[in-house]
Amino acid sequence: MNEFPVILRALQRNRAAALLTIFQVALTLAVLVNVFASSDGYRAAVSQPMGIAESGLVAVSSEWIDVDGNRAPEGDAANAFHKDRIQRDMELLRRIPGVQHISATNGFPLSDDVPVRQLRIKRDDETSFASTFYIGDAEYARTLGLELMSGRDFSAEEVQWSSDPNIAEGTPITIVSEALADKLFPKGDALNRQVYAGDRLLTIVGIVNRLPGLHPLWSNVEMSFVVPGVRAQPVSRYLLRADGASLSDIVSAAESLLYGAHPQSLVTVETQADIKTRTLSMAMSTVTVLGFVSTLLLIVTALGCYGQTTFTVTKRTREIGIRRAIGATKGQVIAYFLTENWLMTTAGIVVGVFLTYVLNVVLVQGLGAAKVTLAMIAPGVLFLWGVGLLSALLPALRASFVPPAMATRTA
Amino acid sequence: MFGFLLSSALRSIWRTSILSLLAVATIAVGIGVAIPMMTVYHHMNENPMPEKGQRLFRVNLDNWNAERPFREPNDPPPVLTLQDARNLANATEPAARAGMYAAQATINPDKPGSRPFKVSTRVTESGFFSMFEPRFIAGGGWDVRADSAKEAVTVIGAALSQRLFGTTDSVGSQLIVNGRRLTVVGVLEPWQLTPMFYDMQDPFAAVEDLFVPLGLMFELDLVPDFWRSPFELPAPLSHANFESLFTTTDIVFVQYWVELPDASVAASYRGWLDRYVGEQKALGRFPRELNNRLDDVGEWIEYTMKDSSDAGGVVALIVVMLLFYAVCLFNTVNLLLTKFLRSQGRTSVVRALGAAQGDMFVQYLIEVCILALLGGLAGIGLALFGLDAARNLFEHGSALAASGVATGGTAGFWEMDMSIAFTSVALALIGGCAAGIYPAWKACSVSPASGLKSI
Repeated sequence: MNEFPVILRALQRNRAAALLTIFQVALTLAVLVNVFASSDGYRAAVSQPMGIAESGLVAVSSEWIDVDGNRAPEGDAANAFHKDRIQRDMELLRRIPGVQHISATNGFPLSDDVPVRQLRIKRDDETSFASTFYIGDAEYARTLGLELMSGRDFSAEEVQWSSDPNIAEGTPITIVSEALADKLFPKGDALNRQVYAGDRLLTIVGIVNRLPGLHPLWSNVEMSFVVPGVRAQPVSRYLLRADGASLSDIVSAAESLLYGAHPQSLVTVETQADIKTRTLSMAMSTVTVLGFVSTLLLIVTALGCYGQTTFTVTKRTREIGIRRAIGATKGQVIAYFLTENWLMTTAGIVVGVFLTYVLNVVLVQGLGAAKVTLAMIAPGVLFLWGVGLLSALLPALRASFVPPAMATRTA
Repeated sequence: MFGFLLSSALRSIWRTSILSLLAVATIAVGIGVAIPMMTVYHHMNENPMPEKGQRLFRVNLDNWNAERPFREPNDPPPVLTLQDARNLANATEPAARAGMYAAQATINPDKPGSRPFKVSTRVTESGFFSMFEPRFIAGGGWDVRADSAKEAVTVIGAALSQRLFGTTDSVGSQLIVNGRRLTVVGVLEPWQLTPMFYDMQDPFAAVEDLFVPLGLMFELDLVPDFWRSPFELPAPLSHANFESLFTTTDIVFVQYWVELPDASVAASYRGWLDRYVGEQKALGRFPRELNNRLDDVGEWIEYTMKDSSDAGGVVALIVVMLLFYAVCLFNTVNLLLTKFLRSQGRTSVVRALGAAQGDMFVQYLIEVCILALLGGLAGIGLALFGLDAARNLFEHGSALAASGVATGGTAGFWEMDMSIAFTSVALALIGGCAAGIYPAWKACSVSPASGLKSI
């Protein structure tokens, strides 16, 4: 490495060309790391195990629509009418081959269409925990495949029918996700404690390992709670748990059965996996675009390093000849150009780390990107070193083939 | 002289064709990546009604609670209470006015075998059609009388008409919206608005396919997509208490537009609004300081875009794309340095024969400009391709997101117009020339003698 001073002096002579490469590498690092940071959350959300076996879940929504000549009764009779309708719906769905469990609920995990409530330890606490609010019946945990860590499940007697969208008069108990339990009671003694959801005081009777909430990209996605009940309302929702049978068969069977039962209602049946994909589709499109741009960027930068080294080699053909004539080996010539390139890449990386943080400030505001950490920068640095060296290799090899006789050419 | 320099430049490009091609390609890729996002941003900020928009005003009053503003720093809510919208409508007579909001309605096709579906719906008043002047294929908007008489009428889009009745001339037909029969009085031409300025909750949203009178909102049970309350509600919203909550509390949800023919009328209307809020304060409403807004279409778009997360995201993406373009330009500088180094010998000969250094510089700059121009044009081609790809990608996503909801397209966002094409070429020329100055200066500053020796 006694060539360092020589290389530095050579670089000084070609300041402009060297600066170009340095800036190029710097910008590339900044963009790459930030793109990675912005899409990191999305990717994590997609691949994150949600604690529910998504693969066998089907989400069914059925909305009763009053049509002239076929109207739901008003007032108190409405409750009984919808209760009867929902019970018959569930009976139909239960009989589809392959369906193991069925539960009535108020919304589907990760659908971006579930209510969120503020939970408080004391009624007028300043701090509150925004959590996803589910309503489920006695089959809810089994249908979703929730793992009960401690406590118990709802019993059938605790599940009450109500026309109130929040089951305000229902049994004041709740099952919470472990993440929520830990937030509410960090000492780990959440079971049998009480918590306020608005004005309602709920007793925690069970804790499940995971229950995903409103949206995969929401910071509180892991904080959810379930209260027992079924809503006797025009809009009804059910979750189906199926075994190995083909989900698409179950989806179409559920659709035609419910439409057959009441043709004027609005029925939507999809798999839980589809719901998650749909909620994330916009984010995924952005990730695709950013990924494409990053790939292009890397190609352009690699071409740049290649071009820069080619330029230097072409310019110094005679000098290379002289060095070869006075005894430098081919290996030394290659090492020289690779070191030179490495020095420039490294300088670029140093500037780039700084730029990365600057760009991150812009992106955190605009895209809601994650804050860049050193752990994200490190792979980017290694990667760029690799790309730089690889793209300089070919011209460096070409330089090593410059014949020593080149030294005799006058310039 | 210029002709000679031009032909020399062209010959020089031809000689180093591979490097020239690479330079053009690099610029083109940079432009092709940067332009699609800029196109989207451009359309987001476009004013779809540049002329008449100066006479159309969005009205906002600040009835939020005393503790905190609706949104920092001190923005009033972008919507009014139904009570205020009614008071405004009853008390003054602007040239035209309309309260409106967006909702989801269910349509039951009256045909055996076809299933109900949801459509995005605009719940509005007759003034909507006279103010925003959508074009009709058949029929027209309903009139003021229909507003006050709560007539069961509707205006639908061409796509919905086609879907329900198999024709775009469905005036007089009936359709079942949320269980009630409405008579079609007008069918709109496909209408693309970018951005969707009269709403702006989602500037990317497509124009609704169904328009129903505001007077029918409770009869049709049309719960607004967007509503907020400055105070805690006495009870959670349900089907049973929808009407009582939305008429008696301070829930805001009505987007209110007025047409004011000139500046003096606008000024007096502004004064009247201030007096109105003063009167309401005397009644114990409007706890906050006077904070009314009266924005014409252009101002309204600017104001809403300022805080739009969509706009923020697009701006962030543009920054990334422009940095990408910068990297491409650095690369172009590299390529040009190599290219001009290759022709050093030739330059020296020409210089030795008496060409001035300045002439050589101009020749190189011409060369760079030609390359940049070609890069810009090729970039437009790539950008068209990229816009198409992005449109497929994002519309597939939003189509998924709206599954079950019939929507129009947002094609307008992905269309390149002349100003964008011009920007692309300008960006290519500016960037290309900036990238070319140093290599050109470097190439013509070689002394002829040393250059000649190296041949």
